[in-house]
Amino acid sequence: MTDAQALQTRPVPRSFADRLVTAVKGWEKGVLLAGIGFQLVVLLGMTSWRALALERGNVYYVRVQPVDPRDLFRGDYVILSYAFSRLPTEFWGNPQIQNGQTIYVELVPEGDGKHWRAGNYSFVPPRNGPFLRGRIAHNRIEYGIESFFVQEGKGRRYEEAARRGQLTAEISVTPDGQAFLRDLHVGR
Amino acid sequence: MDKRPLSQRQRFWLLGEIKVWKDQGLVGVEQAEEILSLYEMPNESAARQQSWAIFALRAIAVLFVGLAVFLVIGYNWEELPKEIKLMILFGTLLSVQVAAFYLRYRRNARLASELTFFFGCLLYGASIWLIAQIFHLNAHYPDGFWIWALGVLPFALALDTLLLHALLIAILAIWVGTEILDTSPFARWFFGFRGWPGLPNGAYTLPLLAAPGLLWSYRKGAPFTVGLYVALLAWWIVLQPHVWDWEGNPALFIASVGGLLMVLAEVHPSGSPFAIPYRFWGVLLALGTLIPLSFYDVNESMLRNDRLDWLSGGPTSVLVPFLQPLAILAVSVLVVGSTLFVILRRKEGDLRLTRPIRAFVSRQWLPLGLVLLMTLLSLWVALVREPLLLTILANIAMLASAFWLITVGLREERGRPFAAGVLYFLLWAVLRYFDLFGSFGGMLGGAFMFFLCGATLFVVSLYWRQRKQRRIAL
Repeated sequence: MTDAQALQTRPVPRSFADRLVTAVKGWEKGVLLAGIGFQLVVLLGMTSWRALALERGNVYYVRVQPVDPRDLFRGDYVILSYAFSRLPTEFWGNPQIQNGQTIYVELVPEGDGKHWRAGNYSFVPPRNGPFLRGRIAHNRIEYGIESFFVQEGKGRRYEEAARRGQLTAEISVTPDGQAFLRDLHVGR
Repeated sequence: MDKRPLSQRQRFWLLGEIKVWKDQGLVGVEQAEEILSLYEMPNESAARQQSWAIFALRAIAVLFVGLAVFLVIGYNWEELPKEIKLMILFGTLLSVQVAAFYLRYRRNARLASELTFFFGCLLYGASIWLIAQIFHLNAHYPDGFWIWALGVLPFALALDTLLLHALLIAILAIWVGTEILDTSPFARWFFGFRGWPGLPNGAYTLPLLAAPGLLWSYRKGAPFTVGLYVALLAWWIVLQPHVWDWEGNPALFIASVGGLLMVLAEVHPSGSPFAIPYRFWGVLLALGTLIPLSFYDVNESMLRNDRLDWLSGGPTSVLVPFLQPLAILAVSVLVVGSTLFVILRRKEGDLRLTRPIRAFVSRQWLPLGLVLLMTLLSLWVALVREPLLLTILANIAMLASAFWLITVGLREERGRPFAAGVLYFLLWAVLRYFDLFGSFGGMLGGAFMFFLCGATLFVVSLYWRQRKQRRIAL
């Protein structure tokens, strides 16, 4: 057999990339179905995780102070700030404290029997009582309850209520301290 | 068998060639007709181009409808309870994707199905933001783009269309930008843990997400799509100085990335259209970055800022200025080494290894020189911190780049590199004139400068035309 004949009869080795592309095209319908399935699973996961946490967590009321920006994708929203959003001054400048570090804040009831405020701050979960789990970010603590989305142009009433000290956030807190924002209430 | 596409210009050329072949007796009338029958007729070609134009228009229309959906969602209807909002969202997404499936597999309407899948993927992104809105989700913002891109990836791979790849690339580009420029540490959960200690968040999953699409584009023979993925990867790489706290002086790194992209073009066989995007983005990055580096004031201010960053750090920050030259060196060795490996592997029968290496160096002396220069300059910046030499060498590099582009154009008889080289040289001349003599010459000096540029371009165009005519005559 000449070289030319050998070249003609020998099967051309297919690269991994070729096989991959052929496999994707061969399973086109399956890949598309998997894609749709993935999209639905992601959206359902986002929804159920959040809905479950809201359903199962304990409800607390905390006082807030908002401002009123806008998000390109999610529309108008109110940025919420709490008294416990500020890192206590005794932690400032401590070289052992880093951005992103987890911090736990005890919740203790206020005298009015409705609202709750911050108690002790610690780097281990408290043994008793409700607590919030937050992350340190530049001398502030973020809990994931800092945004409240409103219909376009409806943020002002919350802003005015906060200025009068009459805005309360209703939050749901899971046993491990994760907080979810349920609603905002205007009034004392 | 489908007829091969043929533009009007190509058809005109082919008809001329067939006439010559017939006159010389190389092909008969029947053979000529058979050759022509392999290609599209003018009306078929026009119909194909028209259908592509309609497809592009419809794609833009779908994009606008998608943007409208975003805004409607952004309005956040207070009157609607969240359960109804969720039902609308899931119902719409599912209906659109099922409709796309029906169009593709029952009606065999491929283009319509691609547009519908595209709309479905836009809706999927909108749904992510709507769920975040419904539940007042205050998560790390770029995460939404990441899971959006992940949901678009299977569609980009399974459908043979540029549209879905363009969407995927756009989402990934926004993700990388927001992920890296937003210094929040929360994004590290992508790795499944809190990140390696001391390793900053550099959106390291991007190569994994871009690789399948890039591979697909190569296998499908789509150089334009390859170009988009190369741009995405280049965008990710040029953002790395921000990740590693080199913001004070990122230009040298960016210029070396440009040079390395030009070097990477060499892994493709000679004449391959896939090399073009690497050269295009490489030239744009390297030669574009040399422009600010050619100003003394820019370099002085850059070094001043960099010095402040350096001095304000702790004792280990003394090492920080040396990270950049080391990084450029490491990446350069990797890229140049891999390119040489591919070139030598291609030359299986040739026992002399020096010949292909010499040919590679003689073709790519400018990109290689630029990378070497950037490595040395970053060392100079780290050790001496003096802007004058940096400015002089950047100006020499600009002139060398213009000369290299002109010689590439002349050697390979290509008008674009030749014109780019001439224009780059003129840009350098204009910049230096206003930089150094602008205040002396005044308006008349400026007028003389522009006249000189116009005259140079005119003479150069005459030269190129004569050159082409001589080539045609031969």
